Amino acid sequence: MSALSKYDIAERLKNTLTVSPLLHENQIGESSIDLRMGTVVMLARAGAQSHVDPSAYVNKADTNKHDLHRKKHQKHERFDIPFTHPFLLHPGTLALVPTLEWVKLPKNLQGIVTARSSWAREGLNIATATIVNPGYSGIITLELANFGEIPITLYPGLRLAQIAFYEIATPAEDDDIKPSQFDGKFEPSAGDIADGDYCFIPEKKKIIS
Amino acid sequence: MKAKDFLLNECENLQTVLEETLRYEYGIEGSRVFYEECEHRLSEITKLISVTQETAAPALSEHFYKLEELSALISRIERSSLKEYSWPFLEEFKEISLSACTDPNTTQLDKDGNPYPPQVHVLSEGGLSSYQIYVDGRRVPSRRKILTIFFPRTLKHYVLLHPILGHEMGHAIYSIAAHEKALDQVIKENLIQPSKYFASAQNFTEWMYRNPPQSVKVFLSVIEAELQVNEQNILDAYVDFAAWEEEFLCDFIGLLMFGPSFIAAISDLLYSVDSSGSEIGNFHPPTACRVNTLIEAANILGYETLKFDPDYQPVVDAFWRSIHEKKQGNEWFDVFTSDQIRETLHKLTAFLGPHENALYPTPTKERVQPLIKKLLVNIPPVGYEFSTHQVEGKSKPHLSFDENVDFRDILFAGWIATCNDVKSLKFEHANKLCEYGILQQRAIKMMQAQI
Repeated sequence: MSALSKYDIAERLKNTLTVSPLLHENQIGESSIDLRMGTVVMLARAGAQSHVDPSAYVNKADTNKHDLHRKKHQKHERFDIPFTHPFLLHPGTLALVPTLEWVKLPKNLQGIVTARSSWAREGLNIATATIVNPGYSGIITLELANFGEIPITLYPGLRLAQIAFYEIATPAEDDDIKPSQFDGKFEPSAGDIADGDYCFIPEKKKIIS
Repeated sequence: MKAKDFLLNECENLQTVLEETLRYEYGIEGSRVFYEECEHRLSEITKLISVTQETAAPALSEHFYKLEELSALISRIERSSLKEYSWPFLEEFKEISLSACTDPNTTQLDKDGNPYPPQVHVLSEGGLSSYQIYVDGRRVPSRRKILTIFFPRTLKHYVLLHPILGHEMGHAIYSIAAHEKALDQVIKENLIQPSKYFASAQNFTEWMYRNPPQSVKVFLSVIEAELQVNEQNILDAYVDFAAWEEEFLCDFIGLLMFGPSFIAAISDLLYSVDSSGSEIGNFHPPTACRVNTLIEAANILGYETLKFDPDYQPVVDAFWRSIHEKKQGNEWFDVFTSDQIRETLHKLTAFLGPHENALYPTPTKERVQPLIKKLLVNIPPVGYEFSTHQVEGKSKPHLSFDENVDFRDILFAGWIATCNDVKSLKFEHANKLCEYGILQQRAIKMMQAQI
């Protein structure tokens, strides 16, 4: 697996790789492309849940549809932040934000998303789920966290993150590619943290996929 | 309390309710304009009530209704949150519509001596038929109009269907006294009076009753049995023909403002309400008459003759086929001749032309085809292309932007892309791609303006 250089990225962008739109040539770095903040912010709703528990994603047999969906919709507060409007990210807060760009990776490329170093030095962290799988298509969700001690004002359109690309030596065949639960999304959503691990959660039974 | 005291007390209540609206985020431009306009109206109404005698019952009654209208307007704001509609679409829509909706004869001018542009706010509530634009009454003591746009709750993000608002904008423009007379003249002189069916009441009833299609006959027999509507009284007891004229007018305005996406959107919605296209409405002409007229108008405007490269022409042809499938073959529904439609379009183009961005610029292959190309490979459609040039054997990136891409081009491309043969691009997904494309295109324009 080797990283793509600026020239390699440019060649791929002509054909199989999509990062659309790039607003300025300076968005393409030596071995990465800068990603801009989109216009939606999802914040964990205060008081909606006492703690994060994988068992909340596994439903008791008697859980009804109302409870299931209410739990999902109560978890986050959704904010639309138009261009030039500020969003204040407080210390210790986690915010899910889409990229402005639509990204499509071919089957032989993997993307790795990180913070831009200038923002990281201000305390802004693009959290930990950094891998974008080959074949992915959609916005990329940036999990923003403020590790500093003072709030950070963010504006949609700012370049907060960067994505580097790595070539996969032996790409998976179509039959072996499992669609991501986030594939084709236009805005962030909560994922299923218990997906596929239900056997480790006692006395719970998954009834709805 | 006496009536006057009660109304003055209600003024104080309204001031309190107005303060409470400041808790809400209800528009990209913030709350100041709406707040100040409502405060101005409240102040004017309070003054009117204060100088009215307790014994002047009719005047107090009129003030009551003014207060009630203001109260309804303020209460709507609490259900008009930014996240409840597609704000990028709305911002684009405002850019094409506000000039035509500004009353040129208002005596209320801003500090630069210009009429205040209308304030727009949005509600997403109601079912499929709730698309409308509510305009203030003419007697409201206002500095600026407030236009309330209603989206159906279920379709609040369906930008591909939102061109229907072009028709509603027609009603909003027509509601301005300064425009009403001119628009009436255009429709009457070019469309109605030359029409062999609508030129007189006798012509109308002959058209309606002599040889209508079977589906219309059935409808007429139903309203005769249930409402005692017949050939002698249909124009007095059932059809409001002035409303029909306004409907035809607003269809033309919608088409000129939005282009082909307007026909696609309005025909889908109208036929969902009246699948036969034959229902005679009190205020609305039969759907098939409207759709047939619009298809002929699109032909006159040259939309169908636009040619694309061979890779894309089939999907464009499929789009126009899908439109023509909605045309009713029975000539009874063709209520206007091509010449009448052409002349009306010509006059309305002259009317809308001076209003910046109001007219949809004739689409070109250069603007629309790249958008279709993106949609067909599942990418939001924007005026952006990536290419490279070689420097010392290395690929250097080159970005090119088409700032002329209009959000109406994106909607046109969206409708075309949904007609792809393999149907791999579902309507809902194409709609989301277009909504995201409109957002991205705004970012492109902002960056290009900076550069």
